[in-house]
Amino acid sequence: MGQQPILTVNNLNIDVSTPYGVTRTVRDVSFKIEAGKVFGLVGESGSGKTMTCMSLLNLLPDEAKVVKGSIQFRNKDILNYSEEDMRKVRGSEIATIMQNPMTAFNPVRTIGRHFIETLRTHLPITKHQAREMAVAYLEKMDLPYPKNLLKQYPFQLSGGMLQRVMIAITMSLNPSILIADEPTTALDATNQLQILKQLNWLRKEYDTGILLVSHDLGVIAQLADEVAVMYGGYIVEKAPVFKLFNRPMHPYTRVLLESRIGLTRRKTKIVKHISVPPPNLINRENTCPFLERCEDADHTCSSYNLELKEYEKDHLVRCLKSR
Amino acid sequence: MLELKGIKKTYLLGNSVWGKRKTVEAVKNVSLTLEERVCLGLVGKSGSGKSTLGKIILGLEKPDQGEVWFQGKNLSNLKAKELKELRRNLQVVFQDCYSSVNPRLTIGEIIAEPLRNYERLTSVQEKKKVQELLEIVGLCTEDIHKYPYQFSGGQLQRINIARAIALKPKLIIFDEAVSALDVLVQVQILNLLAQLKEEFHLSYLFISHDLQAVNYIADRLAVMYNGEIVEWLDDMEQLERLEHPVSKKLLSSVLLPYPGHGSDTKMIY
Ligand SMILES: Nc1ncnc2c1ncn2[C@@H]1O[C@H](COP(=O)(O)OP(=O)(O)OP(=O)(O)O)[C@@H](O)[C@H]1O
Ligand SMILES: Nc1ncnc2c1ncn2[C@@H]1O[C@H](COP(=O)(O)OP(=O)(O)OP(=O)(O)O)[C@@H](O)[C@H]1O
Ligand code: SF4
Ligand SMILES: [Mg+2]
Ligand SMILES: [Mg+2]
Repeated sequence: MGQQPILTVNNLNIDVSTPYGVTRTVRDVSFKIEAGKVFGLVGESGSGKTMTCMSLLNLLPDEAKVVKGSIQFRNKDILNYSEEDMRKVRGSEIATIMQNPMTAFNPVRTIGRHFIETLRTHLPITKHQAREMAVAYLEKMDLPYPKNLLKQYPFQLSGGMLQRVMIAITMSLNPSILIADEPTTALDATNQLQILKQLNWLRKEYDTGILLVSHDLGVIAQLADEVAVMYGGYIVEKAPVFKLFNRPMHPYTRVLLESRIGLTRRKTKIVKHISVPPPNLINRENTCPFLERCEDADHTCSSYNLELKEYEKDHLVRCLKSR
Repeated sequence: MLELKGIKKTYLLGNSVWGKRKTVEAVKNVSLTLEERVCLGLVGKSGSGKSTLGKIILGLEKPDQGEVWFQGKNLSNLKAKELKELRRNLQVVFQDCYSSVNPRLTIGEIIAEPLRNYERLTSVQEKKKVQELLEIVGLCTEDIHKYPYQFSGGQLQRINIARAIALKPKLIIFDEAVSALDVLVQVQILNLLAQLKEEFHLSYLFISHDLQAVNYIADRLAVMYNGEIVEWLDDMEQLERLEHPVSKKLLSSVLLPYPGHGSDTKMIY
C-alpha cells in the first residue's frame, strides 16, 4: 500500500558449518516488513525459518553465519550494527517472541524480577512503576492473579502461561517490529485466538510490523497479509494471503495446503506418504530444493539455477513449471 | 487397561515468607478408564492440568490422592522391579523432541536404548530391530548412524515415536507430540499412529491443545478445565454436540486454515 517498509531483507544467505561440511541453510531470502502489516512465514520444519529470524536480531548461533545479503533497518544494515547498538535495538525496537518460552527465562529468577528488569533496561521508570506496568500487562493477557504470578518461577507455570507472560513483556515495550516465531504453538485454541487478536490490535493501534512464523496454516490464514513459503532454505513462493491460499502455484505449497485437516475426520483424509528424506543441503548445487520430492519434476529441473519469478503481480514462484 | 481413580494433585506456589502459602490444585478428583486399542484425546485450556495428569500416569509426579491402575495393578503399591517391568508397557512422547534425545548418541543408539534396558539382544538382532523400527516410521535404514541435529523436527519426532514403540508398549502418552510440526508431517505422523494402534493393539492418551489434531486421531474425547474433566464425548463424529461452555469455546476458537470465508472477512477482527 505504498507503505515505507521498516525492515528490508535482501538476498539473505546463511551458512551453517557442521562436521560434515557446510550447510546452505538459508538461500536468497528477500522480504519486507511494513508498518502495521503481518508478514507470514510458513514451511517445513528445518527449512530455515528460525535461522532467518535470528539473523534479524544478530543472534545467530556460533556455527551459523550470514555469507551474503543485507538487512536494512532505519536506513542502516543490521549486519553492521555494533553489539552495543544491537542491544538497544533488541527488545525495544525489534522484539521477539520465541518458539520455546522456557529458554527466554532464567530459571532461577522470578517472573517479576525478569519482567521488571526488562522494563527498566528500556524505560526510565521506577521499580514501583515497572511493577504496576507488569501487573497491568499480565492482566491484559488474561493471566490469573498477576501479583502472585510475579513471585513465581518459570518452571511453575504451564507452557501456555509462560508464553503469555513472554508476550506481555514484549507488548509492554511497544516495539516497531515484532518477530513472532511460532508464538502460539504452545497455546490452546482459546488462548491462541486471544493472542492473535492482541497481535492484531498491536499492529493496528501502534502500527507494529510483524514477522509471523507459524506452521499452523490457520494462524497464517487469519492474520497474515502476505505469506512466504519456505522449503530447503529458499522462499519457494510469496504472495498476498488470498492469492496464496486460493491459487497455490509451487508444488510444495500445494502439498502443504492439501494436508490441511481442519476439523475433518481421519477416514476422509489420505495424504501421500513422503518417505524421501528432506533435501541434503550440504554442498548442494543450485538445483530446485524440492526436486527429490516433487511430483512434477523432470530432467530439466536439475539443470537450472532457479530464481523467484513473478508469476503474476505480487505473486512470486520458484519453480520451472509454474511459468 | 488404564484406570485412574480420584486423582488429586496440588502444588505449592511461590515462596512467601509470611503466613499461608498459595496452592494450585492442578488436578482435582479425576477418574477415567482407557480401554485397549482406544485413543483418548485430552484437550483443555493451558494450565488445566493435562500435562500434570500425564506425568502422574507415568509416575513422574506422585498424586496427593487417588490411584493409578495399569494392567490390573496399582502403580503406587509396586516394588521397583515390578514397576520397571510395567513401565516397559508405558511409553511417552513429549513435544520438545530435541531435548528428549541425547545429542551425542546416534539415532541407532537412541532407538536401541529401551531395547537394551529390557531385552537381551545380540548386536545383530538389535540392528535388525532398529532398522525395522526406522522403516515403520518411514525413515531410511541408513539413518542409523546419524546424529539428532542432522534431522528436522518432524523426523526426530518420528525417531521418538520409533523409540516409544520399540518394546511394543500397551499405552503411549503423547503430550503435545505433534504440535510443533508442520501440517504435512503432522498428518503423516497421525496416520502412522492410527495404523500402529490397529496393528499392535495400542492405546493412546493424546494430550493436545490442538482440537484439529485430536479430532483427527482420537476415538473418545475428554475436556479438562481447572483440574477436572468437565465433559466426555464418546463419538467423535458428534463434535458439535459438545455442551460445556469450555468445550464450546475451544471449538469456536479453532482457526480455519482458509483466509476469510469466501469474502474478505477474517476471524480475527
Ligand atoms: N545450532 C545449529 N547447528 C547446526 N545446525 C543447526 C543449528 N540450528 C539449526 N540448525 C539446522 O539449520 C536448519 C534450519 O533450522 P531452523 O531452526 O531455522 O528451522 P525452522 O524452519 O525454524 O524449523 P521448525 O519449524 O522445526 O522450527 C535445520 O536443518 C537445522 O537442523
Ligand atoms: N512444578 C510445579 N510447581 C508448581 N505449579 C505447577 C507445577 N507444574 C504445574 N503447575 C501448575 O499446575 C497447573 C496445571 O499445569 P499443567 O502443566 O498440567 O497444565 P496443562 O494443561 O498441561 O497446560 P498447557 O496446555 O499450557 O501445557 C498450572 O496452573 C501450573 O502453573
Ligand atoms: S522446479 Fe521442478 S522440481 Fe522444482 S518444484 Fe518446480 S517442478 Fe518441482
Ligand atoms: Mg523454528
Ligand atoms: Mg502441558
